Amino acid sequence: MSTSLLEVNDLEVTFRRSAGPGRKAASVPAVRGVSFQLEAGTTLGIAGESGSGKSTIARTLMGINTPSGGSMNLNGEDVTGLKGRRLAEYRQTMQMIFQDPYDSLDPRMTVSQTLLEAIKLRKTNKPVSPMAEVHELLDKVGLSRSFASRKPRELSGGQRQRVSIARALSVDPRLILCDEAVSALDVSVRAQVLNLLKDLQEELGLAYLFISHDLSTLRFMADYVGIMYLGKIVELGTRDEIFDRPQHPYTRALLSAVPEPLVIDRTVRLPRVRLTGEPPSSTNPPSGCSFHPRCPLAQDVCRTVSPAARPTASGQVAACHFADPELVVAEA
Amino acid sequence: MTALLEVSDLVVDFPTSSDGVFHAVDRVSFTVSAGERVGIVGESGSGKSLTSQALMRLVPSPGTVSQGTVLFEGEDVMSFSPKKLQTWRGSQTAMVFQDPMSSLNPLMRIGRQITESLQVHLGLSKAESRTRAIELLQKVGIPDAESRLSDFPGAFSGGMRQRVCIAIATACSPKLLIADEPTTALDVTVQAQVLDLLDNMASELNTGVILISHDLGVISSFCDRILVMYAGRIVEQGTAEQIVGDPQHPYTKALLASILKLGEPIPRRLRSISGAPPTAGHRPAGCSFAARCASVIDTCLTIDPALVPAENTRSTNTTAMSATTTFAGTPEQLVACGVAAPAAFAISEGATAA
Repeated sequence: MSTSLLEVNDLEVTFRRSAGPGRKAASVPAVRGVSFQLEAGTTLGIAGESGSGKSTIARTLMGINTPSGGSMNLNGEDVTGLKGRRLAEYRQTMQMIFQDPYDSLDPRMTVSQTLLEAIKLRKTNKPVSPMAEVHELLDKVGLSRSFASRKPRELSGGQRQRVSIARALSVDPRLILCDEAVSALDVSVRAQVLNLLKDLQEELGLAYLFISHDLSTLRFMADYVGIMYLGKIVELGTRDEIFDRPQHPYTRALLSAVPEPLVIDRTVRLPRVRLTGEPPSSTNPPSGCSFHPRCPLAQDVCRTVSPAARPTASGQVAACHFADPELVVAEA
Repeated sequence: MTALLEVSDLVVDFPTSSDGVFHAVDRVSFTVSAGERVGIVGESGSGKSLTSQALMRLVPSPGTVSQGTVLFEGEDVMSFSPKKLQTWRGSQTAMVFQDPMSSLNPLMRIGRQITESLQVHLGLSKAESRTRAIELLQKVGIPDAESRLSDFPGAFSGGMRQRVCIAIATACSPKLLIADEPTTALDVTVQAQVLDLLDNMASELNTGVILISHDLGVISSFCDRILVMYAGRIVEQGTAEQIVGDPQHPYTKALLASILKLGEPIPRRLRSISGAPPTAGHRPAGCSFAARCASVIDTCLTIDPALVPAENTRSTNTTAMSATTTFAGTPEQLVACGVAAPAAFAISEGATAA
C-alpha cells in the first residue's frame, strides 16, 4: 500500500493511425511503459520535445485518452479506464490547465458563468452561496471581483489563464495537471502566473504535474523532474539531480541547447552538446535505445538492447547503458 | 560607409473603431549593416513583427505605413514600383516565418519551390537550378537531398520544413534576411541547429540578419545588436553585451529579471512585471511603461521620453563604443527613459514646445 497521491505504473498508450494517401494504417505507441509517483503537495515536472508523449500522459490521466496497458492509482485506488459517473467524480480530485487560454474558455460565457458551471457540477461539498464562492476564487487567483461579469475577449492572456486556474480550483482538486500552462504567455506575465501557482500550492497543498518543454521553467517549479524521449521517461530524479548532475546524454543535450541570456562574453561560449538530427517518429521507433541515432555516446549495444531504467550513483534513475558518474567526468 | 538597411522614423498606423488612428509602430529608426545580426525583442503586440513587415512593404490591411523612410543600399523602398518590389523581395531580401507549414505550398514539391525563385530571379535553367537546389538542401543539413526534392512539404518534420524555408530564403544569396520567430515552433534541440544555420549564413554570405523573437535568450545568444520594443516603440537599443550586461531601461531590466536562467540559483519567487502592456489604441499620456514601472516618477506620467544616448558612461563602454562606431556605424546604447537618462525628458519637452 503506497502513500503516494498518484502512482502510475507501466502506462502504455497506443494510438491507431488510419490509412491515408500514401501511408498505411499503423499503431503509434505514444507512451511506452511510463512509471512515476507523485506525493501530495509536490510538483513533478515532465520535459521533452514535441511528440515525446508528455501531453498524452496528462490526457490519459484525465480520462481523455484510454490507456492500452499499465495502471493509474489515485489515493491508492485504481482509476485506470474509468467511465461515466465514476470518471466525473475522479475528475474532482484531478483538474487540468491547458496551454491556450484562448481556446479553453467559452467565449460566450462570462467569467462568473464559467466558474458557476464548474461549482455547480461539484458532487461533494455542495456550494451554499455559489456567487460568494466565485468571488473567493477570483480573490485566490488575484483578480478583482469586477472580472466576474467580463467575457474572455475582454481579458488579456494572463488574466484568462488566471480564470482557467480559478475554474480548476473550483472543485477543490488535490492535483492539477498543467500542460504547457504558461508557454503561450509573454515572459513578464508568465512570471506572475508561475508565482501564483507556487503560492496556491503552499496555501492549498496542491500537487502539480507540470508539463513543459521549457527547462528553466521546470527548474523553478518542480521538485522532481522526468525527461521524456519518444514515449519513455529516460531520466527521473529530483530537480537538483537532473539539473546539476544529469546522467542521460539526452538530458545533457537538452540542457545545453537552452539559449541563455547571460552569456555576456560571446567569444567564450560554452561548448555545446549539439544533437544532430531530429526526434524520430514514434510510429517506428529505432531499435535498442530510441535515442541511439542521435546520441554522441552510442555504441553497438545501444543499437540492439533497450536500456532499462536503473538507479545511478548520483541518485536519479536513468535509462542509459552509459549513465555513470565517471563517464561525465571523463567527458568533461 | 552606408548601412545595408536604414530605417528612419517608421510609423505604421491602424484605424481604431472610434475613427482615430493608432500607431502600432511609432517612429522606429535603426540600421542594419552587411553581415550584422540585429535582434528585435518584445512581447506580443509590441510591434516587432509589424516593423519587419513594414520594411518589406507587407503591412497587412487596414494598416498603413504613414510616415518614415526605408533605405536599402541607399534606395527608397517605399517608392519601389510593384515590379521592382517583386524582384527585390526574394533576390535582395528574404523572410523566414514562424510557421514553416503555412509558408510552404503544401501541394507543390519542395524542389519546385526552391527552383522557382532561382529561375525567376537568377535566370538559371531547369538543370542548373536543380543542381543548385540540391546544394542548398545539403547546406541546410537535409540528408538525401536529391531524392527529397520530389517530396511534398507534408513529408518533412517541422525542423526540416524550417530548413527548407531557410534554403528557399537563401537561394538567391540575399543581402538581408528577416527571420520572424523562426525557431518558436521548434523543439529546443532543433532550435539550436536552426540558429547555428542562420549564424553560418550571416558569416559566410555576409548577409545582414534581422532576428525577431520574444525570447531574449534566443536573441542575445545570436545577435550583435539588440533593439528592445515596447508598445510600438524602441525603448532601448545597444550591443548584446550592453543590453544584457548593463541594461538601462526599467523594462529591459525587468524583462531580464523575469527570465529564468539555468545557471543561477533558483529564486523563491520570480520577479515579475505587474500589469500588462497597454492594449491597442490605449496609449497612456507620458511613458507607456509608466503604469508597470518600478522606478516611475511624476514626470513619467506626463512627458513621453525620447530615445537618447544612455548615461552609463563607463570608461570601458566608451572605448568599446568608439571601436564599434568605426566598424559599422554602430550607434551607442540608446534608452527612452527619463529616469535612466534625464535628457530623454528634456529632448521630449523641447520637441513638444517646438
